[in-house]
Amino acid sequence: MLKLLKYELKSNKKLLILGAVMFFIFVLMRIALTGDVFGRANGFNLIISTVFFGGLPIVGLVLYFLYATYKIMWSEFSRHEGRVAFTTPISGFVFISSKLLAVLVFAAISFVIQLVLVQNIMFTALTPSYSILSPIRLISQILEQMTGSFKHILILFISALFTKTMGANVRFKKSLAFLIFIALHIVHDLFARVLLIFIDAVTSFPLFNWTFQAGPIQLQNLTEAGMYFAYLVGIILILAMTFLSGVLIDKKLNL
Amino acid sequence: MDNIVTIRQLQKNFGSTNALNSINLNLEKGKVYGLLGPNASGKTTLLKILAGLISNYSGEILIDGHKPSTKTKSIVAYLPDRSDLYSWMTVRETIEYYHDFFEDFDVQKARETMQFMDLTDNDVVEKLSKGMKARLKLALTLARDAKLYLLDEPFDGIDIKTREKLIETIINSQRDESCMLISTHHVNYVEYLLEDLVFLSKGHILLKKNVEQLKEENNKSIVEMYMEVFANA
Repeated sequence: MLKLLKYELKSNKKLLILGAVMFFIFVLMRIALTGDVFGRANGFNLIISTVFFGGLPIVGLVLYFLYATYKIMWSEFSRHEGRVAFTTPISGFVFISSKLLAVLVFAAISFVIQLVLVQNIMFTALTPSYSILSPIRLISQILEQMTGSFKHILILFISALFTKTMGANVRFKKSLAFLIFIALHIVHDLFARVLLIFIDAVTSFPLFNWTFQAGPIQLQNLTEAGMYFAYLVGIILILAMTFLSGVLIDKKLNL
Repeated sequence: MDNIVTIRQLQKNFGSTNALNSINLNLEKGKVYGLLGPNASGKTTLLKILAGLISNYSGEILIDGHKPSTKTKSIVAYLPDRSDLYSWMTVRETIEYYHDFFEDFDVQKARETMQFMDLTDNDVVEKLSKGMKARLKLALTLARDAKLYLLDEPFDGIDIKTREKLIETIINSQRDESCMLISTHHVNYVEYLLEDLVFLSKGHILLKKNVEQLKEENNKSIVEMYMEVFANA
């Protein structure tokens, strides 16, 4: 798996360099802000500060992460380049796991920059009393974002994989893949709600208030036990979906 | 002789199109087979199934006694009709890649073949010409000590000089314990390479015979036989 990860990272070295450049820029911004170069924001400056120190970098980081994820997860499926990987004696589970590890590297870059630097820059600019996130709060935010992102990535990946496996020869396969994507999201959402209510982990939560995001797995809705349980369920779901992706590649590939 | 590949009632459909229809075929160790047929006859589909790139089919396939799987990929060396290498890699990195993932890969043999084919370590895959990519892919594929070699259109779009080098490399690589299946519609290039022929048309096997036997019985060259067989197919 580590060998595959090595090639995934080599494949995406330009994106890694871009991530490092962004990190450097945000560090410089942070230093400049600490030195009170920008001053404290109010009125019109408040809007400018919010956009430049918070909004734009966060949008940029989200786009960066989405593009890196798409490139890592789907490149061998969308074109001929790299399909040599499917002729190697590597199981589908190992193949997908190495890709998820590569995504994890990019997630770490994006989330660390976002949580440690950008949010701090923005909040420091907006609220003079704002202090750096506590380590526990930081870890739980990263865990929450990681498990959430990985579940969404895998749901999207499995839906797309349908077009290259069981649904490769089906008419309207892309429309069907989209329906599978919606169905998996609904099942995932229901599963999370029922499980969390079953273990009495929700402090206040409207059960049938549908949102696209998995509502209950948000820290403010959960007790502490519920929060850890949600992480555990998230990790189990990620493993299950990785296993399912591997089985589809091993048993139903149609390139 | 031992069979390295056994295929029984193989069927593969792409939607309503019948790509392979009730294919029954045995391939023996120590032989070079020619899989001949016009475009869209099912050659590439058959090779992809044997290489493990298509797992969605009906019928039974055994490669060295095993169904196509991760296990059989370790004994099957596949050369696709289009380059499937990572374009960012250098020639040296493609050798490292094969060395990392195929236990039967012989680095020394790959280096010798690449030298013979005028490929240099620092060449980047995406900057290689079509002919050079074909040389690289063939050098990598044949540097494996595989039990089954699957070569899909190895001579497409390459010049005479390169073709001669490729043929020489293929001849040098053939061993008694391995089997080679070469798919092509350039019959004249491979005529003297092949021992057995499989004529495929519209997903059906029209003919499977020994080359010498075929020539003796019909008193015709393989090219003439090809024209005759596919004239009515």
